[in-house]
Amino acid sequence: MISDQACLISQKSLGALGTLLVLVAFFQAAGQTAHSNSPKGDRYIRHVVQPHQTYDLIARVYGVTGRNLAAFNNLEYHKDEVLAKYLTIPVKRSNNTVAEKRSNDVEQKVKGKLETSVVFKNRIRRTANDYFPVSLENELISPSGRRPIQTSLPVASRRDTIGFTPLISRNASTVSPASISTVKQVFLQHKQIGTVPPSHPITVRSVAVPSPTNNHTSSVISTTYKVTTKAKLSSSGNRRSKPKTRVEKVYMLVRTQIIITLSLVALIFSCMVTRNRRAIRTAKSEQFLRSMLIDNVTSHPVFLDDPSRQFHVSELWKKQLKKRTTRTFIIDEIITGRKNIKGKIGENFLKLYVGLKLDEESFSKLKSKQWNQVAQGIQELALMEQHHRMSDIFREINSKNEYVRAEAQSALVYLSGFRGLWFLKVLSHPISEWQQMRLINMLSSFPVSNIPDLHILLSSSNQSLVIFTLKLISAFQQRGMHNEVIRCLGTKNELVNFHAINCLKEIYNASTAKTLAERFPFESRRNKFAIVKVVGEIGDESQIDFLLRVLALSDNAFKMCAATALTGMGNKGSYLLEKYCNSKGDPYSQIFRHIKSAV
Amino acid sequence: MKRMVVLLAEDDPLILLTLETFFTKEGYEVITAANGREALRLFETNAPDVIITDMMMPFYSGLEIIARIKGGFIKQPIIIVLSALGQENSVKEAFELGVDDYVTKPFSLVELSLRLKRLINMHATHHYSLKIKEGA
Repeated sequence: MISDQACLISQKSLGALGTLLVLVAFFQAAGQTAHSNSPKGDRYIRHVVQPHQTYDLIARVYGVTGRNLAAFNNLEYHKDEVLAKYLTIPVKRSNNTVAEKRSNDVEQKVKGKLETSVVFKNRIRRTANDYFPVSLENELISPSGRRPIQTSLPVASRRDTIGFTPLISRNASTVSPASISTVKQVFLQHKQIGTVPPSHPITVRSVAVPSPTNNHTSSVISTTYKVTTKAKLSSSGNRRSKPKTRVEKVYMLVRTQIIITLSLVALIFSCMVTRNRRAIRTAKSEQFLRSMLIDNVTSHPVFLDDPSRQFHVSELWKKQLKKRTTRTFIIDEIITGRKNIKGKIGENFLKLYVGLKLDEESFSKLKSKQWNQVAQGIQELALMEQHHRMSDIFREINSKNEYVRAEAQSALVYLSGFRGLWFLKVLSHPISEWQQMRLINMLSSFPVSNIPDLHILLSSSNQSLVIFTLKLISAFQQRGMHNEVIRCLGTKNELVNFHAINCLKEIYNASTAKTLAERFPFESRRNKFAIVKVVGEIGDESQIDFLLRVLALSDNAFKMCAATALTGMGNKGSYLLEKYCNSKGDPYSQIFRHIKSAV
Repeated sequence: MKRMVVLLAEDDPLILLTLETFFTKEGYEVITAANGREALRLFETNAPDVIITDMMMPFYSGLEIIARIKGGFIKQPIIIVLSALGQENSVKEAFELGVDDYVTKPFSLVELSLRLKRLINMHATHHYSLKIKEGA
């Protein structure tokens, strides 16, 4: 069975894997297409032109000539301010990916903040072979937040850079004034070349710098200057994001979809595998426990040789019973065994239940706050015939929860039969129709005896209890209660009267039919029908006059009912009915024909 | 002496294991099936001498198994039905199909074993008398 399950699950897993592979292939193809179309590798640096910047000024920043820059952008070279918004720098962006990445970081930091910090980053590149000239690459966000500035600021000499770097500490709180002044100088340089507006105020808040190594062997040393500005961003919408082409967007979308799909598929697959493994492990564990249980029940020396010997719980059992789930499983199995197998083996299931102290586990459920646990505990104690727990079960008779009440009532009846019905005297809640049937069904397996205190129950103010008592009297033919039932007919409750009339059908005596006939005028329509039917079943010839009177009523339904009752009273009843119907004509003759055809 | 092969068909694993353990100790060769389909398959491959089957099982009920065995195989095993259904109709239907015995749950394993032994003896006597008749 386990192998079948495993096979089934592995087939499902293979199916899922196949789907996964198809999806991966599809998305890979899509991704490749998007990637191959992407011109990212061929993109040049794009310079956002600031006010008062000229071609020469911008070209100097990137190490090209002003003429070349203008020509590269198909523009006419001049020495005045550049009017274009953007300029493409004839330098491949692939050579400047670090700067681009930094630019993105800066954008992230600026996003959504009203008062923000401008992050000013320097990256000093040093290599062993090419130490000079040292270039200082800066990425700045303008104070207005409108134009991200990506530019490269050349540093005059090695001495300038090396001169200020050691002065800057890693810890921002211990920044020396000298380092701050150096940062300010760098900013001033920016102001001079126009990347920062001259009117913009700058104050250094903190500086966080990883100290460069003394031997200068590291290839990249990152230095971050955090500068506070008083500028405010009007809204995030003012910030101009880096424009993306359609192909790039598609590529990003496909890549995201692939990642999400693969993640989901992987998650589902791992869940299936985990579930499969857990199911196999649980099945094995259950099989092992079942074998242990059967071995104990069928061949344990305590059960076979000497029933008076005490059952000692082995270490293996103790180990297994530590888990609550195992205890629950064992209880369920023992109950199954007890329900299906009788004789010595069946008794051994019961002994094992007590021997393993699982009755305490069931009893502990009675103290639970969850009603289903309480109901289960009651059921277990009852099925395992724990008579000494009856007082604990009895406490739940008037539980707030109807299911717990029902279980407690059933348990008491299951354990004590008719004697268990004494709970009815203290019952303050109604008994449902279903519960009434259940209790009567359970009681039917016990030898019938006189049910005590029924007269007390008949006088109860609990209507459902009175009806249940009438059903008990009827089902178990408690003939001694005839007079008490007759007294019930006098109540104002129509339903009680109805059940009393039907109850009298089972415990009638010579006077019952006459009494019922006398009650006829005082009862409701429904009860009148019941009286006519019962009189037809239990009455003798002395009740024929009563039935003929009912036959004479104007209501055709009563006519039909009385005619049926008369046919049930033997030949005399049938003869009188025929005679009466023939003498009266329609509708009586029709009624008679109808009843005759039915008979 | 060849051991008698008993096919147990029961969907409740605990009852199945209990029956298996008990009848193995009694000296029978036991094969088990957890559902009706498996029971029929095992019957075809193992040709057991005795079938003890539950009435309510997945795929095929006990009565369906009996009907197929009675209708389609030459070798007719001893069939005992175990059932929680003690109604007259169920018992009648089972006996009409040709079961040898009907045991209602809860059942006693000892009683079941005794019933089985009696049926085996009856079958043996029946076969012996048939052989004598054929010889005569």
